Amino acid sequence: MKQYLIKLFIFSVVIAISIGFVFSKADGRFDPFYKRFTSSKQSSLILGSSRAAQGLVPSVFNEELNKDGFYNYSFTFNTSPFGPTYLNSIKNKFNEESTNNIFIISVDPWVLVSDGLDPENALQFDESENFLGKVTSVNSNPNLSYFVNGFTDLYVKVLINNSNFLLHDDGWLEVSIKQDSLQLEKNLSSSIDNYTQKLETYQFSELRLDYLKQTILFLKPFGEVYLVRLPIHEKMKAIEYQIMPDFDARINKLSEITSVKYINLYNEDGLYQFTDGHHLTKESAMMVSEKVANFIKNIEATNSRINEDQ
Amino acid sequence: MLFNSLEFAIFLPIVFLLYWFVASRKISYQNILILASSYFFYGWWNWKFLFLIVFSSFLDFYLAKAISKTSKIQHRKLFLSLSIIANLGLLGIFKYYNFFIDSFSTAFSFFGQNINPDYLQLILPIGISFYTFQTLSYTIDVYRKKIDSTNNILAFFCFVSFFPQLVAGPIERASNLLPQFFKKRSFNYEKAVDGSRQMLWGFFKKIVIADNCAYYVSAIFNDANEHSGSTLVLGAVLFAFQIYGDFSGYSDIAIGTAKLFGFEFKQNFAFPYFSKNIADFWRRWHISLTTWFRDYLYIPLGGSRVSNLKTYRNIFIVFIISGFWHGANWTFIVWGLLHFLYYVPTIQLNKNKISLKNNTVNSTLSHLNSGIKMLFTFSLVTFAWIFFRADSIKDAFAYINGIFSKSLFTLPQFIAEEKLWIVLFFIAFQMFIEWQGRFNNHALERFGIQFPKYVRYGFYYGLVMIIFLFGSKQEQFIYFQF
Repeated sequence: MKQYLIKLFIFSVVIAISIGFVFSKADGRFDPFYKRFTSSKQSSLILGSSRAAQGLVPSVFNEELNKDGFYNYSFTFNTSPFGPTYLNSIKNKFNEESTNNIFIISVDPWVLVSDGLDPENALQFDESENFLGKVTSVNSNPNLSYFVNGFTDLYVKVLINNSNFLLHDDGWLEVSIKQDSLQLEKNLSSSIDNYTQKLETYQFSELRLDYLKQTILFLKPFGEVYLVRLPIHEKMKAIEYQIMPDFDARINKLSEITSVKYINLYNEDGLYQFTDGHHLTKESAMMVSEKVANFIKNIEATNSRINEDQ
Repeated sequence: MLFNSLEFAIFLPIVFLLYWFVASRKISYQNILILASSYFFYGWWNWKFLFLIVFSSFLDFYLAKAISKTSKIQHRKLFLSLSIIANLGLLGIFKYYNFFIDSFSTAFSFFGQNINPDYLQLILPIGISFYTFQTLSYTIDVYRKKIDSTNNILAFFCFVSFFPQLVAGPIERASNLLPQFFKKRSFNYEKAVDGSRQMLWGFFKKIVIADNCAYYVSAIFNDANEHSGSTLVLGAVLFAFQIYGDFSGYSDIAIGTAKLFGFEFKQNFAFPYFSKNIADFWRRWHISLTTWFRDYLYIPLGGSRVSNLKTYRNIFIVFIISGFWHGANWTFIVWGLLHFLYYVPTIQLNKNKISLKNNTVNSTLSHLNSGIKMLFTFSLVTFAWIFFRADSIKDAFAYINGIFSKSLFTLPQFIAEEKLWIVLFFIAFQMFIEWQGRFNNHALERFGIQFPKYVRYGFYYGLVMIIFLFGSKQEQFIYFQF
């Protein structure tokens, strides 16, 4: 018995060390989300779906706004739509001791819809079954909870760095793909098919809009909140219009109620390039981030002038 | 509790240490611990269904005692009938009630009578088919005077509910397993090491082979109309390896776990995909169920000691009931029927009586004839698996129809995916290792025994790391639903 247990123990230690070694190799290339769960609590958050994850670059905001705490905590439309799961995760990630923050919340119809039978029933929001709902800690390195409960692919991916993305330390997801027109056209067509199909099952959820409001109200005491609608390809606009024709009206109303600014770049699609119709290329992401930062800068300057005048 | 879960990874070492360090002094302590941990293991899924196991255990314990106490044949028959009716009645209600109601309703509507059946909203208790057959075999064996009834209620309850094999077999006979609960178990190093090896191989088959195959199998079977003929063939072949990896993997983990506690189970899979004909396949696939049907159904019906026509009838009944045992769906019945049709020529050609050992000893892949026979048998088995996996007969025929199309001669979808090649590589690796170990009770029993220890440990280390790096995420075992 003793011999068996000793051998088993030594074998288990060797295995545990090997597994630890594999996990220690986890970086921003093996998975587009993991690193966001390994950083400490953050202050100025950028929130939203994959459009924000790829399209809003924290380093640009830091530079333009002379701050150093921007952090992109956006995921995808099906894992981080506004709802109880995302709000709970934001609360866990946010450092409530920080003040004078700037929060940028990217909004679009897809983060306000649900494919459950009853879009007003939070129990039918299936993001709770995804990693944001399952990961128990969002601030530990290495994050075993994410590896066990959140990561759904093979662990060997940790050791193979052949992905076309890089998740930066500040949470920005940099995607590098071939930019030839044929490939872009193919990607756009695939996105159109994919999202047109979603129109059949997804519908607007008043409850999700309410959770967006709750998210804003949670963050407001700690700084300025800005709502941003990022540009998308013209062909994708038509699909978005179908699922929520009154999107801008609703967001305008929400911004009035909550007293936050709404920066709408929806109609500036001609100025930017997209990888698949709704994700900005990394070059365009830099440009858009700069533009949003300048908007914020101007608003802040105007506000401080008003304050000084008063 | 699933074997491939974090809960089991915590549960097993705790029970193991308690068993050998706290309960090892007395046999009753060991049995109490086994019973408590088995009920905990089962109750982790749904504690409410524990009462069914307790009920079956009580019933068969006392009925078997009653059978052995009386010498009057009518009384003995009555007690046996009670056991059969109660056990199969429970199984029938939980597993088959809705199926029969639905089938009757369909039959009536065929004749223009529409009825609205009352379906029962029942959850199928996990493992009910397995422990029902196990406990039934005890009362039948007592009735046949093959074994004596036991007075040791604790040992009997352990026999019915022993956690390694409670939910998906192997279906152990009382003559083999029950006496093992009468003796105090002492730790045996060789047995524990062999059990660990067998568990390791079981985990490999389940987590690396079956669960990775499941990804493609689901994608292909759930959307069969959208795939080419060649992709559908790929889906069927991958399902063949999925179900084998899933079920034989479970059996290996179960048998290996039992060895850690000092128990010996019978072999449940004997490398069935190396079979040279269907009769051979059925001597190697789910052996505990096949032999159960042989001993408690086929032989009582007359077996092969009757006229040819009756022999075919008996085989037909066994295959149909075996199919039906797997699930309340016509697809399983057609699966059984297909195997019956495959089996008939082996009787005609008198190929159904070659012993397992002779058949394998002479088999080498270098022998082209054997290789072709194995491939042919595998193809037949894989074809039948389509019915087993499909949701309905209609879906199965649509699937088969899709295979025999022009697109059969195109490259399958997914062929460019790295992950598919990884899966195919590991299937080849699995078959290689199993081929090396085909004369043993499990693939790793004597694998690499000729090499130095550090080479063998290196191999086991590699296997664990393969399971970790290439293992798919926790999936339910297919046979839990049966």
